[in-house]
Amino acid sequence: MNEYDPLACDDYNRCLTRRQFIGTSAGAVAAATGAASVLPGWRPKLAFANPSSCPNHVFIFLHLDGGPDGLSMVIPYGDERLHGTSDPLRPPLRPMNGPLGVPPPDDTSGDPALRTIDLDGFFGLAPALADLKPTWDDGGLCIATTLALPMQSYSHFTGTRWLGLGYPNAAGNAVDGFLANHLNTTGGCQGVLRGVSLTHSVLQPLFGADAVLPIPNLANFRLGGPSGSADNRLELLNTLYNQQNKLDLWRDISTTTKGAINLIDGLNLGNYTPTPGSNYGDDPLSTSFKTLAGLIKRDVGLEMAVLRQTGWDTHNHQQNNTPGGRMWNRMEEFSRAVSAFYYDMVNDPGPTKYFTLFCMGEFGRHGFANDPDPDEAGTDHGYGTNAFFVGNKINGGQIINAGLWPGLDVLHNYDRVTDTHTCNTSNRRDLCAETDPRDLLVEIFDRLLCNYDNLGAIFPDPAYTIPTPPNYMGIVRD
Amino acid sequence: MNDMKMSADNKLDALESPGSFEQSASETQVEEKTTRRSMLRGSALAAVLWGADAYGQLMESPTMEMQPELPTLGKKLLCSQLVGGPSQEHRLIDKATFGFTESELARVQSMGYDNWLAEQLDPNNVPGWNQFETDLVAIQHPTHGYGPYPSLDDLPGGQLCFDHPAVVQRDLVRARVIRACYSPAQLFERAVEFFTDHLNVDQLAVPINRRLKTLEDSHAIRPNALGNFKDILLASAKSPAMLLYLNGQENTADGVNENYARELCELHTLGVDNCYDQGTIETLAPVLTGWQTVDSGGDSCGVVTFNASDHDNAARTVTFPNCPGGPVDFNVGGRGPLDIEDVIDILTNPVKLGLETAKFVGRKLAIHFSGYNPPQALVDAVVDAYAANFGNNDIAAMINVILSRQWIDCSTTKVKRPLHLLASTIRALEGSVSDPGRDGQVNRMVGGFLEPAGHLPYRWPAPDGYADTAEYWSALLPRWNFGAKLANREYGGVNIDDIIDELTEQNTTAQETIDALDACMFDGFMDPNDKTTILSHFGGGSFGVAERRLMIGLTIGCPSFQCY
Repeated sequence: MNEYDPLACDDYNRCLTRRQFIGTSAGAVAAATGAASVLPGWRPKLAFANPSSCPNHVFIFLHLDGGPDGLSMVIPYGDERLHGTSDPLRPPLRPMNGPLGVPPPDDTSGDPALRTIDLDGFFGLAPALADLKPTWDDGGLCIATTLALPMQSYSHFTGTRWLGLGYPNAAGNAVDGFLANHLNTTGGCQGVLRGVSLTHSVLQPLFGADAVLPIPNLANFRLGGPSGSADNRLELLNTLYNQQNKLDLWRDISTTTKGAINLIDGLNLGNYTPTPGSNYGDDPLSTSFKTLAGLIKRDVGLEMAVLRQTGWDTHNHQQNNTPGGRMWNRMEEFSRAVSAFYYDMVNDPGPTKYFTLFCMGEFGRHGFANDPDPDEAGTDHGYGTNAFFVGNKINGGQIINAGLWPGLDVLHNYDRVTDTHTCNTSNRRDLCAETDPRDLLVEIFDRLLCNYDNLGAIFPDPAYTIPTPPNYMGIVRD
Repeated sequence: MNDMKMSADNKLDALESPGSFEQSASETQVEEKTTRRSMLRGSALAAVLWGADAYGQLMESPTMEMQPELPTLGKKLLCSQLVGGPSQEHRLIDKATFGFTESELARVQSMGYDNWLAEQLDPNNVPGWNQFETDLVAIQHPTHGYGPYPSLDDLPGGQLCFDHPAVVQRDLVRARVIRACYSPAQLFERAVEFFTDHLNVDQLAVPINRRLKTLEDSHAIRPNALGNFKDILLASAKSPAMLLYLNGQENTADGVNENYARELCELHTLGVDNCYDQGTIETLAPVLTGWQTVDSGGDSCGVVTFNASDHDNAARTVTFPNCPGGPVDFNVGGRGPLDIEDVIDILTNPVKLGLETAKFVGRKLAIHFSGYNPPQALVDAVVDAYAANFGNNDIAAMINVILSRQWIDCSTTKVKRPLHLLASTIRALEGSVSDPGRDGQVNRMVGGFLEPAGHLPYRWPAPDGYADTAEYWSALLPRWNFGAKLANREYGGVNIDDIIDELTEQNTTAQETIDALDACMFDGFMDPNDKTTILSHFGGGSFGVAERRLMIGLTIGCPSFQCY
């Protein structure tokens, strides 16, 4: 796995240096980790002896909860079948009064702010995602389209679990998420808080690792009651929870909670001042990203963060093409928070230096609107969708798998009984998927997070073939 | 009364925690126990009963002994009572209510286990319940509705259609908290809790649901929570809040919306991918078209109508290709407003797919009322009870099995969800709640505890309802803060002054105070490690009101009190 040319990026060189450093003991490492690729989902915690140092890269996952209509976010306006004149999937709002349609970039009939924003002459951004265009232009945003795990569930909950495990069709007792698998196979810098979930409960991707907490509001994490006795009471509570045997999880959660209170309470993240020009909104998503940026910059050893944006399950009143519409608002909040976070971090990343943000939902949606009325129309659960990769080591400004676009003449069908996927014209419903999101994540775990020895432990699905570097798609900036 | 020190003899038993009895087999046990072990070892069911519960660590590692007076139920092996642990009556209160109280235990003991359970399975039998509901509605929460068991003829929704929607929303949340804390029909409230999650509707999914969730609670959920599953499902299907939440409203003949049909199969009845597939959903959705409501307040708010012009009345064959016994077909459609009832009947009638539904819902009920990994034999018994009592208060029949003396010993430790922690605290300490508050009010319990803990009533956005797993609710800081802030009088609208005053009048020492808390919060079964550790924190120094409050806060936050 060390065969291909070293690249000029210092992060990659850091990885390579470590590879060379452990070169003589590579056999031992390989032997110790040889079982990783065949470990079942219920395997015990791994404790591989990777040489560790404080990682200079933080990885963030934003779950677009509900399954966004990918075709309304990254619009293949160059595909004649989208809103052409013959049997279009999404007849344009003008002149055909079609639901969900967005005028192409060269539309001259209406408000320019409602047109598709061209990206590469074929794909364009939804007008509600306009805030992301500067990030794209800056090379910080890479988009993958026609993306899905190679199994299909139309269930939010199954799909969310599979995405978080990085393991479609995982056994019912599989619990550790792919980010937890990463943390469990690396030492990090022994941070008190290695991962944080900005939710009330740790989201699936990060569930299963130690030194991880759910903290819905980073600006308020302290023990209540009389302040004079808070330290003593915290110590006592931690003792109580470390000696209990009611729930194993509570021992680590207690220790981490105590450490995180001491760590976070003094940071005053509610008053964090972002890089001037970072246009965070006042909504909860922007607030979460803003406080997260503050935490990352304090260099406290945080390696992973997960967040969730709800509201993407647009079965009705989707109105992705109408300011103030349901999906329009979600896209605005999303693009405002992500672009502000990117600007904030890229201009002043702090000692951590590098960051990668991965944004995806559990599935895409049907190709067709479910109602002819543009006000009422929504989309039901489907398959292929797209994902957004943002960061200062991301090979941005490109649709990374544009060359794999299957066209909208064919759509996806999945037969659960025979477990077969087909792209055909017979029963057109869902977007096809040409890329497994894990293929892109593997490249990131290898080249940016330097966990090249444990890729099979991060994605333990025996049906998944880990790509090798020559087959990487190039999502990491050279 | 609870000397948990174990003799040398029964230490061996204590080693026999779930999953480890093979290694700890000993040749020296008394005959009775050896016999029981042989039974366990020889039975595949033993692994189900004792090996599967990841969180089954019990409060005290108590010893286990066969109960000679309990016969096996058919050929099913029964769990045995925990000798030295809480009594069956205590376990019943733990599992059937929002929290143990000494007075409720005395009541069970005086009237008998079976009589208490029978009484609780129909709230109309519970003394004081009607008066409680009347007071709740008339005095504290005038918009809440029509009293306990309103008639559907009361539609449209009356007061709740005209008051400010924020007031209607707040009142229902308040009522949820008050009922959990104080309703004498505790089992009924736990059943309402279950179906509020099982048939989840987000109070804020659409603006009008701030009103209509109240209507659903009073007209669909509460009248049926201990009645028939088919009835609660049909009432939910036709309830205006659900029509708007899962897009029945938009499901029309010329614009079929799959949302409700999918969740009806996946979440409400069969369980994910059981029997049905995408084709099933696409066939069922048009059959359910045509039901609509009005999405505004005022005179017609809450009215549900069947619009034949929006209904796809075609006759269809719906196929459930993935049933355990192979594909099953049903003919549906062509009966206008009765089509929805036919679909519900297919999914609930035991001679159709009702047993598949009962397996899924019965298991969820067993998880709710008994433990995270209910024995398969219990789930089977629940399914049997559903089939035998279909249409005859089948929900009460299922719960009756789960909480029966025959199965209560199989119940295992669960983690209290935040509302449960709140209510159990108020109940045990006889706290006084005048205003639980609302979201955003950080100096009240709802906004200051349930909201940061992630458990605002009626506010889970997705249709699967709030989770019922230990992992989901494993965050600790909200729990620690609840105890600390309640005891430190940081929440308005509630106080626990009575117990503080009582302890202060008696000038209790630290030891006496923790003993009193052990008695009223745990019936003497507080984990000795928790007790001695908390006590040691107050060793030596002066012990006054401030220390009593700190001790209460720590006890509310301690591991023992998070579990039930």
